[in-house]
Amino acid sequence: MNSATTDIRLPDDFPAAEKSELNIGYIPLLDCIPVVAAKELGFFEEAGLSVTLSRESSWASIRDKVQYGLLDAAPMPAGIVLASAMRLGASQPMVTAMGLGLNGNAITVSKTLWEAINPSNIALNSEQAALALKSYLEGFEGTLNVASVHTYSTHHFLLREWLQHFDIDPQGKLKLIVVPPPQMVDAMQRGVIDIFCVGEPWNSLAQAKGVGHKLLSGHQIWENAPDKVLGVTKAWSESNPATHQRLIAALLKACSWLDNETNKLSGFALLLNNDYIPIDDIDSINLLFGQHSFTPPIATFPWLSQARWFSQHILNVSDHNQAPESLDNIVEQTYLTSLYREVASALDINLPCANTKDEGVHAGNWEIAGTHHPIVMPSDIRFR
Amino acid sequence: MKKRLSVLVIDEDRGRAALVEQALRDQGYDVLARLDTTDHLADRVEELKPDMIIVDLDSPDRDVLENMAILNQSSPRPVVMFAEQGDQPTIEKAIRAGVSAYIVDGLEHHRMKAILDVAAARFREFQALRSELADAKNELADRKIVERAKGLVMKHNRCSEEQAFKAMRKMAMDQQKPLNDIAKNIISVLELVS
Repeated sequence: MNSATTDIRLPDDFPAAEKSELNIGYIPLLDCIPVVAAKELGFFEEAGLSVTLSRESSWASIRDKVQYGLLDAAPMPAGIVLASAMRLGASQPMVTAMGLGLNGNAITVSKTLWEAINPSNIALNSEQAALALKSYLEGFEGTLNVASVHTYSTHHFLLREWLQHFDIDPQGKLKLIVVPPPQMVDAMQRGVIDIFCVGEPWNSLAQAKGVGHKLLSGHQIWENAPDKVLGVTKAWSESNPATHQRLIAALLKACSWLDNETNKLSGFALLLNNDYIPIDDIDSINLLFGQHSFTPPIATFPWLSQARWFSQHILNVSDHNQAPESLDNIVEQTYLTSLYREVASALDINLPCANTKDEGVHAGNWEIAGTHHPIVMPSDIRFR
Repeated sequence: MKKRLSVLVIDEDRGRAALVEQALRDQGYDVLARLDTTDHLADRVEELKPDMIIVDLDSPDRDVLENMAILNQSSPRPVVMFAEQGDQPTIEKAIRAGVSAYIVDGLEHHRMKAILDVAAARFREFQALRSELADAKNELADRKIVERAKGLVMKHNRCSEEQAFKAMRKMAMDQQKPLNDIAKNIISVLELVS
């Protein structure tokens, strides 16, 4: 453990948890590592929380169990939390005070399709990949099935952005469908789907098995794109304020432990060797493939500018007419920036001075003002 | 007369799905199909056009149904969306029993409630049967352990079966431990010495 992580601790007079035994749900993906590390390395325990992690089989089931208190909290796509605030798919609003990582997604095409669109087998950028798929579609009769794992997930939104930006499918030959992650590789192998976008390890597993080939990483569509957040219901957060803060504190500690390549790899090994992801050939997974980042506050601050991006995409897919003014309200009531600030200050973590930032325009590192010292932000350019 | 409601049951556990289907048929509902997992679930739902879908809360196929509900207005929507309209207890009971549901817009709440109640009751019944079976298996395993320990005590103390059992029961009472734990201890100790 690096010394910076050991130094992160809650002050002794921090309010006691209203509820100390918690059930947290997760979907088997590499990016569930913050909750697994917090559990397995005792960060939850140190924060006075006894946490049971429960593997769930769909985002819908995570959402419903959080809504009805069968789960206290769960890492979930930011889009599901924001959609609940718009009363889409849920009866009560959820909130988040913390992001749980950047990147981790990719678009994979079947081996047959890869060979057809890219016979020279070279690495493609987002424009070359678009051109290759476009020219293939021009001479193609029929439909290609494109699978993602949830309509409100980051990868589904990234995929849509890429398709639109390069006007890839003007004739509607791509059919967007949903397939559960653990069935993805198998469905591609049986020829049911031609393209999928999903979080790791499912892309690198498809590639290792020779079933598919990475077309683009999510990174090439939006570098350092946000993904999962810690979701709870608004009611839960209001009745368990200290528990919520302690949960955030433990996860901030886990994320700062993961802010180091060596720790990140041992974290993934911990996750894979302890049966958190039900796959046999764990050795074939390329753990660096997803380029995950968990660095606080960059990857964990609930940036309002990112919430706006998700919300706009939710509106685009959900024929739901919401005026932009109320969208700002929804974003501010759902992304609890002040709660994050409160916990991070108690832990003496450097914080950004603003709650929003420019998104998608920086080709290299850039700087923003921080409460202790300036924060070096990674590139966030679109369409590499 | 009202049109009979059509229901689609999706459950990987075929035994449980059959139980739910029968109960719904008995109540006069039209069960369109009973599916375990399928690659073409979305196509099947579009083709069958059910008024209501009953699905295992933990089914991995639920996100497929969610996608349909988001993208297609005429597809059944998750029942949790309707909870604020006075059906909160019914839905909560169903979810605790492990049942989730999707309903088409305009389905009257009392009809939805009736179906959810039937499904939740069958799910609970099935769960009870399963845990009873597990208990029965454990009981059998426990009995085997006690038998083995008794045999070891008989051999070691050169006593009768009844004496061996009484000795074990006395240990259980003195140590306030289940007979089964005593038996396990005896096995681990006596197998070492013999």
